[in-house]
Amino acid sequence: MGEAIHGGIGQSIQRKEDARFIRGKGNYIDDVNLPGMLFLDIARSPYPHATIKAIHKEKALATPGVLAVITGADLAAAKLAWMPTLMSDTQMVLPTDTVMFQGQEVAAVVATDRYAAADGAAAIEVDYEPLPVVVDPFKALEPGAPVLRPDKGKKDNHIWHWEVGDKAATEKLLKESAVVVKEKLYIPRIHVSSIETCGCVAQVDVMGKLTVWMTTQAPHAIRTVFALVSGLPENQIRIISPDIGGGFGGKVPVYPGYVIAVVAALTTGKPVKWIEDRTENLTSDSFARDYHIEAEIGATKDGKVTALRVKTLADHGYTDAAANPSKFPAGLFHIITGSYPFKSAFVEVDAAYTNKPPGGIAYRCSFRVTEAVFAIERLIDNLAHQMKIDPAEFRLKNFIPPEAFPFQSALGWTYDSGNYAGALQKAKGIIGYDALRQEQAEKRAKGELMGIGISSFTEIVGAGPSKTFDILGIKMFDSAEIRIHPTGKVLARFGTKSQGQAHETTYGQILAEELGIPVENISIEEGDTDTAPYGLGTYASRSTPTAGAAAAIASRKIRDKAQKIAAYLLEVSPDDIEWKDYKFQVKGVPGKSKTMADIAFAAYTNHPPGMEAGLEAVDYYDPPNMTFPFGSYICVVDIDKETGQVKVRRFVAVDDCGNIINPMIVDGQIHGGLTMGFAPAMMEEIQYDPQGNIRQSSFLEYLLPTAVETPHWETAKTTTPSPHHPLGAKGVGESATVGAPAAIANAVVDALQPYGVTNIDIPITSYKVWQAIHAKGGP
Amino acid sequence: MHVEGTFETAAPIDRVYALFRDPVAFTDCLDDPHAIHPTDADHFEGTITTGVAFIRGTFRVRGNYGPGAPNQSLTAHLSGTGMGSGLDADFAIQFAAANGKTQVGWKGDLTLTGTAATLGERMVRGTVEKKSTALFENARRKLEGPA
Repeated sequence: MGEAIHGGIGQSIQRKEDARFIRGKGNYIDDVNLPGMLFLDIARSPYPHATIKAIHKEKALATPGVLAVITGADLAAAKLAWMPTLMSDTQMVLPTDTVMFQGQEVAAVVATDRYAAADGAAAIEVDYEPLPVVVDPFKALEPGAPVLRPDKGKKDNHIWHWEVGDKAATEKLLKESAVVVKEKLYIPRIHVSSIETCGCVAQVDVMGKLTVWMTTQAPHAIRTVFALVSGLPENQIRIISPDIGGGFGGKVPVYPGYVIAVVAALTTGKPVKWIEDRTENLTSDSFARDYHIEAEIGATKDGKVTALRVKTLADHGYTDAAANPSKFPAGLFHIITGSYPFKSAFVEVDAAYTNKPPGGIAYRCSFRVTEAVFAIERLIDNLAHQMKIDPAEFRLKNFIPPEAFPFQSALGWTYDSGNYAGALQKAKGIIGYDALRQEQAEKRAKGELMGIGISSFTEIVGAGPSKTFDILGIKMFDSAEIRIHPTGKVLARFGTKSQGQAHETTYGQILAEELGIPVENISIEEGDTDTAPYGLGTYASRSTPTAGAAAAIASRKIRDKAQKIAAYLLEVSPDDIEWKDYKFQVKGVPGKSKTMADIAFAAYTNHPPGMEAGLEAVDYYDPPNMTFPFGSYICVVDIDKETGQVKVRRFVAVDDCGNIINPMIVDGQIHGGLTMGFAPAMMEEIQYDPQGNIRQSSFLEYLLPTAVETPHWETAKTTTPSPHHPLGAKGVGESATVGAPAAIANAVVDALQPYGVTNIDIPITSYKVWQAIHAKGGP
Repeated sequence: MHVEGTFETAAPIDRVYALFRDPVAFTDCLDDPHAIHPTDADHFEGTITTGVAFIRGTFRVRGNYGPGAPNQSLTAHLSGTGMGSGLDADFAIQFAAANGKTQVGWKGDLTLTGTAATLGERMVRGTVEKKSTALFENARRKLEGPA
C-alpha cells in the first residue's frame, strides 16, 4: 500500500467548515436578510388550559409598524389551523377555541421591524376562561380527568398502548428466577436547548414559488409535509437549511411558527422572518423523555440474567408529535435488553395526553434509546448489588459474547457486532478499577462516600431499513450524489443536514478515500431541497450509517465507470485494471496507471466510444440493518454526606463505533455527548407546577453545565466494525449521551449503598442526595 | 398562593365596609398605577400596571363582588391577563366592631400563570406578600385619614 490520500479515512484532519465558523462567517437563519423583509412575533397563552372567548386585535393593529395580525380563525378559513404531526396526530398551528399548554401560540403579529412585532404581540388582548389542568400523566389517565382531546374522539387521555415481547414466557421466567429486582425510574422532561433557537425566513417569489430558509434537520421531509399541509405543489416549494447552531432532535418537528411565517409571506407578498427567543424555545418547542418506567429483571442464583419486564407511561403533552419512525410509537425503546442475552423480555408502553407542549422528540438520542439504556443499566447495577456481586464482574458474567453475533435479542433486534467484554475490560484497565474498589472499601470504613458506576450500553442507530422504517410513509433511506468535474474536483450533495457534526469533513474524507481525490478538492453541500438528493435528514446518529454508506456506494459506482475509462486510456481490458494506492493500475505494472483526476478529464474530453460522457453517480442507500454501537463507561464520584454534593472525580468512556472516519471529530462528538449526558443526570429538568406553570423558562432555572461544572472526560476506543456497513462504521453522535447518565446515577447509588439506597431519580441534585441519606438515618 | 392578614382601625365599620365595597376607592390603595371603573353595582374592570422584578407590564383586569353581608363580610374575584401572564385572585374580607374600633381580617388566594409565574417564580411569593400587605396598610391609612 502506498501513501494515504490526504484527508482519507482514519485521519484527524481539521474540520473544513470551521474555517468559516471560527471567523464568525457561518450563515445561520438570523443571518438571512432579504430586501423588504417583515418580522413576525407570536402572542402566547399564559394559561395551560383555557377556552378562548375572544381575541382583540385592535390595539395590536394600532401599534406603529404592525401590518397584520393572524389568528386561528384566519388560518381555519384556509384550513391551516391544524397540522399533522410526524406520528399522525394533529397539532394546532394557532388555536381557534382552546389553548392546551402554557406558552402555546395564540396569535401572530407581522410588522416592519422586530420591535414593532414584539410590541404588537404584547398589545394583543385575549379573553380566556381557564379550564382544569392536568400535568401528571397518571392523573390524566384516572377516571374523571378532564378529557384534553375530544377533537380526536377521545373519551379519556390515553393515546396508545404498544407492547413487544413474550408476556407469558417473561412472566414464567421471572417467577422461576432466584432473584428479581424491581425499580421505578422517572426520566424527566428535558429540552435540547440548542445555542441557536428555531426560526425561519419565508419568501414567495413573483412566480409563486415558496422558499423557506429554516432551522431544520430534515429539509426534504419538511418540504413534503409543507406540500401536504398547504396544498402547494412540491416543485413550488424550496426548503433551505443554512448553518444550524445545534439540533439534537429539537429541529426535526414542524413548529407552528414556521407555518405561520409561510402564511404571513403568502398573505403579505413579502419575505417574513420569525426567530424564537430563548423563553419561547424553552417553553413551547417539543421536549424529550418524560418516561415513567417500572422495570424488573430476574437472575438465576449464580447470577445469570433470565428475563426483563418493563411497563412505561409516556407523557406526550397535548399531542403526540414525537419524532419516531411510524411503526415505532415508543421509538426504539425495545433496545432495552441492552448488552445482555435475556431469554425472554416483555415491554409495554402507554402514552397519555397532558397540558404540556408536545414531548417525545429526541435529545441527542436515537428514538428513546437513552431511556432504555438508563433503565437496563440501572437495573443491572441494582441486581448486582442485591446479589452482592461486583457490578463489573456481574456484567462480564452476563454479556452477549463476541462469537454470538449477529445476535438476536429477546425483543427482536439483530445486533450486528459487538465485543462488550473488551470495552469494559479496557475501561477497567484505564481507570484502575480494582484499586478504586479497594479505595472505596477503605473510605467506607471511615464513613466516607465514594461510588463507582458502570454503564455498558448498546445503542441502535442508522435508521433504517425500509422494510420497517418510515416517517409518514417515506422510507428512511438516505442519499449521496457525486459529480467529478473535468479537473478532478468534486461536488457532492447529500440528503442529510449537518448541525455541527462536520459533515463537510467526514463525507469529504469518505470520498477522498473512495475516489483517491484529496479532501481539499471535494466540496460538500446539504440542506437545499432544490439541489440535494432526497433524504430523511440528520438525527438519531444516522448520517454516517446511511448517507455515509451512500457516499461510499456512489463512489464505487463512479469507480466502476472510471475503471472502464482507465482501461480505454491504458489500452487494456477493464479486467486487467485494479484500484490500488488510490489509482487505477494495470495489474502487475505499477508504473502504468491513471489517477481519478486523469480519468475525470478524459470523462469529458476523451471517453470511450459508446460511453456517456461525465463522471457522476447517485446512491439512495437502504441499510440492510441498523448498526449497534456500544461502549463501557465508568464514573467515580465522591459525595459530601453533610451537604449531598456529588463531585464526579473521574469518568472513563470507552466507545466502539466501528471503523472511524475522523478520530478527532469522533472524540469531539463523544466529549459533547458526555456533557449532554452529564447534564440531565445532574442538572437539567423541565418541571410544571400543579397549575401547569412551567418552572424552567429561562437559563436562570434550566441549568446547563458550563465548563466549570463539566467533568474531565477520559476517552478511549475499541473497534468492532459493522459487518453490513460498506465502511464498517456504526455512527457515534449520540452514544455518549445515551450511555453517560446511567454511569453517573449508578456511581451515586453505589456510593450510597451503606444507606440501602437503590434509586435517586435524575437530575441528581445535592438536595435529593441529602434527603436520601437522611431518610436512611444519615447525618 | 395564599396571603392573609389583619388590621385594626379607628374608623367606624360602615365606613370601612364602604371603602372595600367601592372598587375605585379600594384600588386607589394600590401602590401600582391603575385605572379601574365600575361597570355595574357588582362588576368592575380596568388596568393595573405591575410586575415581578424586571418583568413588568399592564394587566387588563375584570372583577366582581361575590356573596357577603353589609358591614360583616365581602368577597371579590379578580382576573386578568397581560405581559404574557394570567392573574386570578379571590379575596374574602371579614369586618368586626370591637371597643369602638373596627377589625379587618383578609384572605386572598392568587394564581399567577405565564411569564410572571415562570420567569419570576422565585420572587413571586415575596412580591405578592409585599404588595398585598401594602394594599391593606394603605387602606388602613386612608380610613384613618380625613373622610
